[in-house]
Amino acid sequence: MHVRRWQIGAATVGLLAVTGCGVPGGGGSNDAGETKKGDGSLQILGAVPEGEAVGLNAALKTFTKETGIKVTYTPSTDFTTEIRTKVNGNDAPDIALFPQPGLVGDLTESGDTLPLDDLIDVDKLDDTMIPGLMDSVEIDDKTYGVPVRVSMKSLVWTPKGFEQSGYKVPKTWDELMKLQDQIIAKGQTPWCLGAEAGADTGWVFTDWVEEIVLRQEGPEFYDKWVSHEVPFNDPKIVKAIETLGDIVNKPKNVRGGADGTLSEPFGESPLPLFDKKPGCEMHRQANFITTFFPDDVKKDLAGNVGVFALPGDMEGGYEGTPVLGAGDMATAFTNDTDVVKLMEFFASPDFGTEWAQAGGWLSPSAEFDNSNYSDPMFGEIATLLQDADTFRFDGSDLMPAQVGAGTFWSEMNAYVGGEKSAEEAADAIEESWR
Amino acid sequence: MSDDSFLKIVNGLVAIVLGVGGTAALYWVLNFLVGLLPGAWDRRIKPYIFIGPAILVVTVFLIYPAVMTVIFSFADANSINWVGFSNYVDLFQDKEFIGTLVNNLLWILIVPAGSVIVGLLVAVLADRLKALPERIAKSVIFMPMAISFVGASTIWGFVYATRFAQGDKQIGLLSAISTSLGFEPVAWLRISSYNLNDLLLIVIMVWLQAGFAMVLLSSAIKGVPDDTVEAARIDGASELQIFFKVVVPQIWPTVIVVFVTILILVMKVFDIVYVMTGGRSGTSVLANTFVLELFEFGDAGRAAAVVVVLMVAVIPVMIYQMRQFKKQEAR
Repeated sequence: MHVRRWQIGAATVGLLAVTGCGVPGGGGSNDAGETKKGDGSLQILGAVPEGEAVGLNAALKTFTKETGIKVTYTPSTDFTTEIRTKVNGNDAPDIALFPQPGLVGDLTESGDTLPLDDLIDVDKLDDTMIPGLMDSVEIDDKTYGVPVRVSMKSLVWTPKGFEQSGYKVPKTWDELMKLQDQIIAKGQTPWCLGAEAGADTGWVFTDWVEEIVLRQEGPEFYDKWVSHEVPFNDPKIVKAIETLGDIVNKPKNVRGGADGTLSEPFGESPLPLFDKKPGCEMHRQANFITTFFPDDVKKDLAGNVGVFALPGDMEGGYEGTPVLGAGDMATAFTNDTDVVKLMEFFASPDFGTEWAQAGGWLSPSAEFDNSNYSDPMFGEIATLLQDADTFRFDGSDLMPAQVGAGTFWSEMNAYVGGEKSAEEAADAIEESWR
Repeated sequence: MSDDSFLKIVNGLVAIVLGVGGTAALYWVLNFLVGLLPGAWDRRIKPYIFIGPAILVVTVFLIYPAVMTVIFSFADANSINWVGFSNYVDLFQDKEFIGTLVNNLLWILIVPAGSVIVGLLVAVLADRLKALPERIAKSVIFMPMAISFVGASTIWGFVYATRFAQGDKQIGLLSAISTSLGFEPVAWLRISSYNLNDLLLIVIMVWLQAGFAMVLLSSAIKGVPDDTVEAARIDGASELQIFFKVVVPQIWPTVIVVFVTILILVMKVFDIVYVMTGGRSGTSVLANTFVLELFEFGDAGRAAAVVVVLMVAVIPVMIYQMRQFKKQEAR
């Protein structure tokens, strides 16, 4: 029931050329209402790029074969903008795969998304998914999404001969720090780190800060930080930012130094791992980074590259190894029987067998059979993920967009670039949190 | 070709035919109907029949949205509750936003003047060349006009690119030059002192617009009657005197038109900043802030307030330009 609905696209004067200033729809109660009968076809919009969606499309084909419902998946390179525009323009897809649960929250506030509690078995979903994952799509005790893909961010990639060079996989943060020194002492460079991503530059640094907060202060504090129960400029957060600074600004620790990290495109930054004489020994990045690896490396990941979980057990910090990750959540906009069927399909622990074979995908289900992954490396990563002590969703994706995709990025750039101190950066972020 | 794309093309063609044909038919029918009216009424109504649809379209697609934008700039992020002037208050208390306004001002001050000066210089100098070299020189200067803003930004992105890792070759022109002179590599677009990074972006726009200025100014210069120049020469005027006292006054209206046209273009600058820096390191401009606020941050109220500021800033320029056009027509 909509009290009043402003579905008016207000555009700026044409001479401004910046057209289409859409105005989101307004308040409504979040109730699923009545489920209509589907018309046999579904539209999905998502941020999973075309190249990575081969497996998704294969899985959807299986769904079509089983149910007769035709599904069209459209990848969007500018998902955030497109979904907002479509929803505002009353042209929402049936289902959207959200890479950022924060955005689901925004659209739920305006009453556009569909709560799934009455439509599918949400309790069962809670039990089968990786612990901690469902929390991110729960808003006011209602569930607004089914995870279809996760990524594990807390991964450190190493070149082929890492262990032969006499290096040992670190088990604690302290060991990691010592490993840095050992690598420098051998005349090599510990880290490859690139954060350049056009208008999105900065997210790589925020991932690092999140990893550090999670390890230094533990998941409970992390949750409070993400939900703004503690201010962003809390001394503990400032300390975490400075811990990143210790890594980036330490002489010879990062390839190209702090300036290099700001101008090196994130997708190219791991490539020195594969140089004949590796340009660096470690690269922390989520599992998606394998798509940026050279083709001959991709053919045999397990044989060409090593990987370990970014260690936890920080001194005085959280005991154990937490995992930072992200994921794509299927959120519905239409309430019909076809949507319900597809949601049930996404929710099943078997979903994604085809995707696992196509590669580049991790199952959000803790019950997924890891032998399905065509690449043994992904089986290995899935095991690291399922074994983790706790999983936390990427904090910047959960924060309001003006922070999570705005000042958190830009201020981290300013901090790493040396234009601001950790405290000044944190203060500026806190100020922007509205 | 798949069925889908074939269908889309057919759809598009049908839409074009129906759209253009339908509009023509509409005008024809209206014209015919008005023609049936008695003589005096026919002449009185006809102008409105032809201008009416245009006014309707402008009202629906320009005036109405503009008014709604102003209205929603007083509402919250989701345009649900009224918040009074708080969007504006927030904006003008935000140091970043003030910086953004300053950046827009910089663009406005430098780009139109820079483009006119470069365009005028090329036009005057090329005018003295023989026909073929003149054409070649002008084509080269004009070429950037054919490149999209995004394309130009990509090109200049390579000019400003810098590599910092030891042993990596510089791929950026500017860095290659500076490092070969023995300087340390520098991240050009992050140097915000003295607004250097803004200036580096502004150069791109001047590069793009100088050709446009040149073309118009060149034809204006060629339109200067030879006898006035001849007369000045006989009176013993120097070349510079001829240029500033004889040529420039005669092409002045064109200079103003070029200047104002580029000025309006510059007020809505967006692409270059978005592609090159995304507004980081203090390089943001109003249009960039608007896109961030609306699409990234989903704050419709604040985004509307940003464009209202932009709109208010453009209005005086528009009025000035309209007056100039009127003056020119009156001549």
